[in-house]
Amino acid sequence: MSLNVLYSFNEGVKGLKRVPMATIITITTIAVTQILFGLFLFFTVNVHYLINEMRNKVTLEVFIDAGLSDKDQKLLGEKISSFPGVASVKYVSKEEALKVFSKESGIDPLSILGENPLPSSYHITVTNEKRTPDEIEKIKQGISDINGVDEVVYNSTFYKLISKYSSRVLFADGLIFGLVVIVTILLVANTLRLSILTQKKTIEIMQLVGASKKFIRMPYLLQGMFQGLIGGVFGSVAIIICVIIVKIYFPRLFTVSLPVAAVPLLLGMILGYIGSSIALRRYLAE
Amino acid sequence: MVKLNGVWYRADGNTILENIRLDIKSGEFVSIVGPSGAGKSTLLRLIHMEIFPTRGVVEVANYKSNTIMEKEIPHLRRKTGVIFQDFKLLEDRDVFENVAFALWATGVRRSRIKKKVFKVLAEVGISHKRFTPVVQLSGGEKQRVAIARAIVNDPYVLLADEPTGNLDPDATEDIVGLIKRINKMGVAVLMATHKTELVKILKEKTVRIEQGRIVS
Ligand SMILES: Nc1ncnc2c1ncn2[C@@H]1O[C@H](COP(=O)(O)OP(=O)(O)O)[C@@H](O)[C@H]1O
Ligand SMILES: [Mg+2]
Repeated sequence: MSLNVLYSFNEGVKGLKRVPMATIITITTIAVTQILFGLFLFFTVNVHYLINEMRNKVTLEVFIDAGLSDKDQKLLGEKISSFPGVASVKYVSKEEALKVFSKESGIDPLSILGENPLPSSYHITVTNEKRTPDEIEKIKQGISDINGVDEVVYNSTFYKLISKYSSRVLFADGLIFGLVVIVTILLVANTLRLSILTQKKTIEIMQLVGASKKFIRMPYLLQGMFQGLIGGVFGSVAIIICVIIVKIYFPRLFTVSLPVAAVPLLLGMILGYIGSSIALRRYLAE
Repeated sequence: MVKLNGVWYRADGNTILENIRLDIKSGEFVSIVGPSGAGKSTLLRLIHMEIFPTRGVVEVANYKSNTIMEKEIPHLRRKTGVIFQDFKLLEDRDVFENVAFALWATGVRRSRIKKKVFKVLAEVGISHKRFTPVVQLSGGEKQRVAIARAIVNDPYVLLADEPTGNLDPDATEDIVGLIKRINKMGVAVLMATHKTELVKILKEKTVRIEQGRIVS
């Protein structure tokens, strides 16, 4: 049996026009929450991108005891590279360290002190799964205990900060996502309740003449999805605007957000569908 | 074709229908008469399967109230036309749309709808007002539209619940005549009314029901 989709769509739009205030309030409120959600989504995706970038760059500097022979230094390097969680090891000699230091600070310690005060070191990165503050701290302790290691240094406060920050952003995301879900489902269900009430008689007549359940429900499902979708469009537009602004003003930052713009749109439609299904179950007794 | 086989219906602890036995053959005309509150409407709603018996089985063609699936009910409804004293028309639409609605809602193709609707409007004698909004019609005319809608899907049976309840004597005569004509075309009719005079004029098979029981 062919269902006239155009008819359902038409009836759906008519149904919303019968309850204009509820429709406007619903779409506006969904739009506001979706914009908020869109902004946070954009922000989160980029913060996570940044955090990952930073995590990948975290290096531990392992300073080597001054008295160690070349052969012992080499042995130490092997020990360090076989230490669990270590991804890569790079040897930095006294001379290289001095060059980098002089270049970065503009000071030449050799001319002041007459000798090179910088120790040789190993620069290590850690494997993906060990890139949490706790694990890095453990690796630091472990390597410090190896014979021939003077000291292990890395920027721990900075590191702890970004980790904490990222979990807070995730928490806020969860809250706003919950808000979008609740607001969309409740408001869509409410508009549909009103829309169904104005159509009680029509629905009764449909049932009387033998309209299929699908035929009766379809206009309402479309109404719900339509409201969620329009609200979602606002969230998507918010993300697209952010992407454009960032592309113009911070072209080297954040390049990954465009596909994310589809999320509010899809979310709105799915939630609208859920909201209308709930309303139909409650207000359209079979 | 419509068969009730010792049917009981209870609601809120009251027995509304008690051991109803009824057998309507195809093409038959049966009047159900009885005072207000006797259970006539309840009986029709059981046949239309808006409600289901507490005990016993209602059979309409191949559908049985105890085995029918929810998704089969729309199909049953298409084969059991109903009319009421309050017509139950869509007040914001015209005559054509009201009848077309029954076809539309059941998935009939557009091209067939027009033909069928025009034909059935001619049968009930309201073709000349096919594009008139139903709010502008008299009671008798509204009931004609309702009858057209009820028979447009070629039902086995027309269930008429006090079809003349809101009509003046002239319109009553018209509508009863029309229902008889439709019956002559082969549609079984089950008409419920509390007006005993009406049944006397009709001279058709009559079932009298009082306080939920068939008394004759
Ligand atoms: N859903 C219901 N719940 C409880 N009682 C009902 C219900 N429907 C009908 N009744 C009662 O059943 C009796 C028969 O009603 P009805 O079938 O409408 O009678 P009639 O159509 O012969 O006037 C009445 O007493 C009415 O109050
Ligand atoms: Mg009644």
